[in-house]
Amino acid sequence: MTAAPKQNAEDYLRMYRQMVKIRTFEDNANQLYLDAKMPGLTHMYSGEEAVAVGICEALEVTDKITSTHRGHGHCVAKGAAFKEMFCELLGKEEGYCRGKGGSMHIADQLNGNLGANAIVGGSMGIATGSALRAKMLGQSDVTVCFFGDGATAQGLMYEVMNMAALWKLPVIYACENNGYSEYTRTDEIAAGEITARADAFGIEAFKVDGQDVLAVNALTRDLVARCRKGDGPFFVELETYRYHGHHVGDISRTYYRSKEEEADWKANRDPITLFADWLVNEGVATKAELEALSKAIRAEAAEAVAYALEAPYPDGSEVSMHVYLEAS
Amino acid sequence: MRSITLSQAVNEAIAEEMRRDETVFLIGEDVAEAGTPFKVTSGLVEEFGTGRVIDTPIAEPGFSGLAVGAAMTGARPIVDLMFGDFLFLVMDQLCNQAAKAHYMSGGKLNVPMVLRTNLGATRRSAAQHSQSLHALVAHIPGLKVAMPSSAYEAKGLMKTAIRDNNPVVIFEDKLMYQDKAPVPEEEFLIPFGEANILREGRDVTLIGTSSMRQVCEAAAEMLAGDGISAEVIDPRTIVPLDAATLLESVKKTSRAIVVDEGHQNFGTTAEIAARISEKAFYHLDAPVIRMGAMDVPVPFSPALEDLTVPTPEKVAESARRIVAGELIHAL
Amino acid sequence: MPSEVKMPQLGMNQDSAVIVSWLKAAGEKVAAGEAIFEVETDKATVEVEAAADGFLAGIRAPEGADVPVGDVIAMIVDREAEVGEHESAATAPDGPAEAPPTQPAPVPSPAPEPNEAEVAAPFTTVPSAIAAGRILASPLAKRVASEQGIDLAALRASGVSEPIHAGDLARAHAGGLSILSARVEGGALAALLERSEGASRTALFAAFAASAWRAAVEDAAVSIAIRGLDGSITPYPADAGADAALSLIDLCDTRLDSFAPAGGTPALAAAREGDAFLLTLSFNEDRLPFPTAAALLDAIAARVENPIRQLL
Repeated sequence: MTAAPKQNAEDYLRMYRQMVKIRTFEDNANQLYLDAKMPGLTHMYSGEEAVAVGICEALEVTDKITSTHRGHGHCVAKGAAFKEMFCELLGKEEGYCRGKGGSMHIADQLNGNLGANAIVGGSMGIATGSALRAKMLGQSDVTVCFFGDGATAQGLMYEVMNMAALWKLPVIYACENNGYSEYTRTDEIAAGEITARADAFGIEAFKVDGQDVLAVNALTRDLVARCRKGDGPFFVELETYRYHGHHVGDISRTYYRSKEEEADWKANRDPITLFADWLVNEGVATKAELEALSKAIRAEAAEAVAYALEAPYPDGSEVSMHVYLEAS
Repeated sequence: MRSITLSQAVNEAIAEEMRRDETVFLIGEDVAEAGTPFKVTSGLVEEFGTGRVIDTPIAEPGFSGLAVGAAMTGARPIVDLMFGDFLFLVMDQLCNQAAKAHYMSGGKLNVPMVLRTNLGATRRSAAQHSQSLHALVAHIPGLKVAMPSSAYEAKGLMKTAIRDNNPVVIFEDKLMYQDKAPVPEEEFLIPFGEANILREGRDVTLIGTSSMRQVCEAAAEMLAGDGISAEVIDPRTIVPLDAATLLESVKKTSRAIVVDEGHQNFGTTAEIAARISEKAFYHLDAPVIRMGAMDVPVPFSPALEDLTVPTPEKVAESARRIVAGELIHAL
Repeated sequence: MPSEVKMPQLGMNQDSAVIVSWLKAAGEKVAAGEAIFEVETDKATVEVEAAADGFLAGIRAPEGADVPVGDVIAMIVDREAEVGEHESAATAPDGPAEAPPTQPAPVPSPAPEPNEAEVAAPFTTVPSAIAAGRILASPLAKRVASEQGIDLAALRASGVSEPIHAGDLARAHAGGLSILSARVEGGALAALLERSEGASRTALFAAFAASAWRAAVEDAAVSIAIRGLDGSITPYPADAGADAALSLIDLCDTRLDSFAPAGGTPALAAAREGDAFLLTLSFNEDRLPFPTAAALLDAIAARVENPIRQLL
């Protein structure tokens, strides 16, 4: 853990809480799937918490993010609540999208989350467009585009980075490089260096340890400030790891990933453990306080899950609503 | 009333809306100084500046994706897609992202964007620059599709499209840009979902989209000489479709021919014909006839290309034969 | 190597064809170039030749079967011993093959023989819709006919060709119904009826109509449809099988004086007017030209006026 300037203890604790919330949310979502209580599939963010939290803690509510199919972490980090999130995953009416988006399309528009996207790289245009709008309308918000190493294979990425660079748009491209594009290692699907792609367009690119929430946060705060001044776009490659398979059903995965490797990351590079150690060492909190915090979050999650399981589905009449926005 | 070209009508519509709402902007290839290869947007960059009339690299998926994001967050983009054939390039952004965002978010996200593109063959531009692909996007829930048939409709429908809070795809016939029609100087909008009856008749209903409207009007003239009275209707928008007007007409005439420049198979004519057959079945004295473009890629040679599209002669002949009680296979 | 015998493409527009007859039976030796079955095309009956030497086997479609072009209908095997490896259907079907299109009665398909049923029989004959009694008419024509009480079957029988369109209904009533009427002194007929016990006035009218028809329209056996006031239809003569040429409505026992039904068949209504009879003939001039109709009614009226002469 890098030595970071001492922010407010409150800020640190909030960061920690957010990471634990993500981990807890994912544990519960995974269990819902294993218990056959959740329709469809979902994609776990566990292990990557520092990326979403480090970045989103540097953003205002008015700043925008676009997310991926692995989007629960971004959603929580940008301010979403457990109850509405679990409801959405279960297709219930009180979900953020009234049950119509599900895990892969979860959006929280009031908090600036423009949505998870089931198309790999599908939200890169949207993020860049949001930045275009900000610049054009003279607004000061910044947009962060989350995407994975796999998305660097999509042509859209190059088209939009090119335009972002040409027009100096306030967008930060955050590449969550977790080493695998579905079931294939990154080095087998991405030629050359990932940051070199940004270099090619003259976009300043950075590499950071994605498991170090403070490093991620510090870098992001700097880049966000520069974006607001018109220095954007920027590109960040965050080295991280996903503990689960590509999706919740990807359980026997030794054919593409060894158990030793997974165990190594969990034991030695867990972002929550690392940050907890740092907090304790720096005297920001005691182990007991952090444990109490985690326990409270677990209870909160359990309550939200129970609520969501009992919550009503949308009425059948909603199936044909929201295809078009009707003129008022 | 003054007459202006379709190109001028579109230009006026965009300019008026950009003056009215500062969040409206234009984005696409060569839209600024060049005014597009069809010169439709000439003059706009001089008035509104490069901040709102944006030239892009040749990156259709990219700039249409940008439009989605801009629209989702408070702007109102008009995307210029130089040829309708490039629709294939933008399908993910248009159909997976723009069309579905409102629904997938449970009504919370909106994408008020306009994708302006064209259709129409017989320009000797061959297979990849001559397609009429409106059926593809009409098939996708969440998109609206407008098809202006003259300068008048072009202006009225464009203004409505820009003010609509949903993604709208508007197809202009690229061979009509210099065609003039009377267009009022005072502001007017043409609502979506309202077909226009251009000529009243008793014996057969001719439904023609875009430039097929003029084909149907010419056919109706020919038929009048044969003592057959044809009613001509322009749907103006295919999504939403004013089925009520079409049905009322067919109930009166008992016969219908649907003429469209998209391919005949699995296209717009099939959808409209099916709706008429379903809802006006007991009023039909003849099967509803589809007349689309031939189901071949558009050939280059003029001798071949002109064979592939509906003409007034073909429409009139089909009408004569179904009035006479024959079963026919058009084209 | 066994070779397949397929239904060939014979006509440009034919996608199936009927097997008229098998010229060889299963197990028989055939030579390449020899005709093995006959097929009906649009134009004529055509012989189809074997493409190889061998023994005919595995016949899958019987005579009369309507087989899609390209379908395998038999095999030619190299050795007689192999014939048994391929099941054959009977080459001649059990019952009538298929109804000719003009017959109105439906034809039941023949029950398949056991071995015929074992072999997948994709070529069952399809009874034509017309044979099954369905009338081909546009939805509009059907609706208008139903609303106006027009009998489409009668229209078709009167010569209007299918598919029937709304215009045909209008033409069937070209300019509406034509009406001729005659007022005839009834004394002689009344007297005759009084003298002959059990004689039915209606039957006499029918006899007069039939006889007048033979005199004025055509000299051939004619059937009259007597429409009763209770809705019944009684043929005259009683054993008449053909479609009625004329309807007869006897209104004499009522206060009514005429009835001109819609529909294609000419109709004669007879009513009492004091001591006289009022005879009304309603008809479509398309089907019964005016001169003929006039001659007919005149002939009927003559017989009513002077029944004795009629009987002679």
